[in-house]
Amino acid sequence: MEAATIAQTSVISRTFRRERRRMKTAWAVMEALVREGVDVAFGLPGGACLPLYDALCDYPQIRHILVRHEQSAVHMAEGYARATGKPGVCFTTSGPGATNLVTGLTDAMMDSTPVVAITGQVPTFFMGGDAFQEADVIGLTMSVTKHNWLVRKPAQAPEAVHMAFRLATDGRPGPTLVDIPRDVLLMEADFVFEDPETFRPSRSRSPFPSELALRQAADLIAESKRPILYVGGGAIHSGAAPEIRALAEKARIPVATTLMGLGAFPEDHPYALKMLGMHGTVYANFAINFSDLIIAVGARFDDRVTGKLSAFAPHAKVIHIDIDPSEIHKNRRADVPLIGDAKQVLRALLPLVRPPDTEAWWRQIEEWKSRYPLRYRQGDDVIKPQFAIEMIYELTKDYRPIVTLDVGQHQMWAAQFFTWTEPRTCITSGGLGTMGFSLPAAVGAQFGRPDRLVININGDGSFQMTFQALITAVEWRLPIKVFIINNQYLGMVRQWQELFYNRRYSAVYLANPDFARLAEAVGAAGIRVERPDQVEPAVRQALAITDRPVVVDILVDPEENCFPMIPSGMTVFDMMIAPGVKAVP
Amino acid sequence: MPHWLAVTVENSVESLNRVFHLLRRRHLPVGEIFMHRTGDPQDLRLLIEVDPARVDPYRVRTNLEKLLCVKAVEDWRECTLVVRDVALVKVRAPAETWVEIAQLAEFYRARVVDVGAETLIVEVTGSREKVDSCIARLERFGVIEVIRSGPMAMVRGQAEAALADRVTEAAA
Repeated sequence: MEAATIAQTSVISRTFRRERRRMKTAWAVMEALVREGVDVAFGLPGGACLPLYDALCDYPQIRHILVRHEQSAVHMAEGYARATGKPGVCFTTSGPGATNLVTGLTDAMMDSTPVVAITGQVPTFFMGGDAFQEADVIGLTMSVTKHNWLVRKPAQAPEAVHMAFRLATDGRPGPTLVDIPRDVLLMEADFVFEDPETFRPSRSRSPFPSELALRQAADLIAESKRPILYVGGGAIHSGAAPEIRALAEKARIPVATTLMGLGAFPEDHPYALKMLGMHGTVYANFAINFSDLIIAVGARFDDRVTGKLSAFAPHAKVIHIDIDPSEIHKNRRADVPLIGDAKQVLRALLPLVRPPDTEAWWRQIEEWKSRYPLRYRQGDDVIKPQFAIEMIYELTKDYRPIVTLDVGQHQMWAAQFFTWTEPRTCITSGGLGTMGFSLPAAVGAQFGRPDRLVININGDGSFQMTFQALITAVEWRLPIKVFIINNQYLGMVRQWQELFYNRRYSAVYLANPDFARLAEAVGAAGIRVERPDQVEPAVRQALAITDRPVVVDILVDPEENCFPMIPSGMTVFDMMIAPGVKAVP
Repeated sequence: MPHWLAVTVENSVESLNRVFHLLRRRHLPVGEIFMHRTGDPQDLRLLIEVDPARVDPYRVRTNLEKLLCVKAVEDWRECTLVVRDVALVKVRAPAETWVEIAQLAEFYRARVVDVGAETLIVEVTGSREKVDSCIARLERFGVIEVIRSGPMAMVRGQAEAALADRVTEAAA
């Protein structure tokens, strides 16, 4: 019944009549946003975008979330997009407002996250003359958006907005930006509003592999002895989780996911090898490196996965499924490229697949699994970060939380010690590795999914980069749980200095504030945890607080290292499981 | 014949910016780039030289195809082409050298298109080698300035665009 209502509403909201109306451009932008189904936008006003904010007063259906720094706005939009699959929207003013978006847009570009940024620009008659708060936003963001538009005439505005939405989600998703000068925003004109779906990039292509290529892929699978599925973030964007599971089960193929792919395959499934790569499981890394066939789904053979590329999986043939043709052969030559949407390609491939004989392969994998499980040792006095993370997982898993992770050691531990089972539940900055991403992303995710528990696992370093997002969370009474894995260091940098720079610690110690009191000061709840036996009660207490954000500051072993680890640019034979101890296949 | 990608783009400063920006930021090591008008004033055609030993032409093509301002990318490796270069060469030319220069120009089917007090401008058209050679012969008179179009090229006798996707075909 409920599903029917939702379906009906979406049909209604998707049916548009062609309409001609006279209004100012800023209002036309709002009309276009409403037609795109935008219900929330993150931003911060300023001189050049004042007309947009004026128009916003007439569009209560677009909730505006005021941030305290524009970087948070774009990360919130990313969190919203990653949790819902719909483009996240952010507004900023010209100059510094727009330049503050650059990190987040780059992040969205690297992780293929659909984000639409709308920026005010100085009036056209000032442009190019170094006016106050002028920046070449089109030039600055050209590298970090799929496309950007400078609106010079009122009539171009709705089209640019609609195109920005189409392009953000078309093919491989990513960020787009529309820059509108203030005088254009204030011009009155006759606008024609069309069905947003009529706006398509002229060369919008839906590539799909040939029948022949699909048969070749099926043959490679049937002939393989040691196949592996290597699943990345593209599988999540495409909604391919059911098809991946079907393929794995039909052909008895083990599944390793990248950091971005966590949740695309349930890790409680016997075929799951969990995360692979630099801090992936030993068995996932052995499996891919000794495989004879890699089936890559929405993954891009990133250096954090392959290590030394020339030595990566030397005996493997590659079936590469990706919607972006430019990813094929980029890092690793594909024997059979299957260019297209992962879900559709897998659906077409599945009926052709004949299960290979993987008995011996599975015996080998089980042996690796039993020899090299993920492990740590928790004593009585100091909290091990892995213990804290595992405790958070155990106490929250029944809520099926959406989890945002920041960047660093805690990110890797959470990737390892959570059991990821559902797509769109792990939201982290994978490609760019943007410290400060996770707290605003949690805010965005909570706006996108008000029905779900949202957890943020953060580091003490990264929390301080975008702490102001907590103020926005308090303002909206978001019941986000922020867990700071506090080792009083820039932990991953410290680990590298310990392992590769002779323990010469340089600029990694953090003289931290009292995070619990800091949280209290802005109206959130604050809890400080110092002993192992306090972790469980603190998590339970945090879960009981539902009228505001909670920050749980967990003081952990300052010098715990994250293992396994394949040092940068090295191979699986250099995989450390402890300082100086290598894993042996 | 160099391996060329023929790229049709929107005729605007912005679209050229996007193309060159992409080549730079992706660190795609392309060779020479030539730019020409087409029959449509809205379009420009770029000839981008690619050396397969340095960069996979497929990579250059698929990246360029992601730009909205790029209308078409054709890989001309296996095409037979008509190639023409046009040069204007200004040479130092006191009156007593005119006949000699005119005769030289005739060998190259070049034309004198401007006669100044002390200079002549010679227009020469043809293959790159022929134009190079003509300019070299004019050197002894004293070449003041050379401006040339670079190779303009067109696929011989083919009605369809050369869009063959060899990489995916090779795999298929």
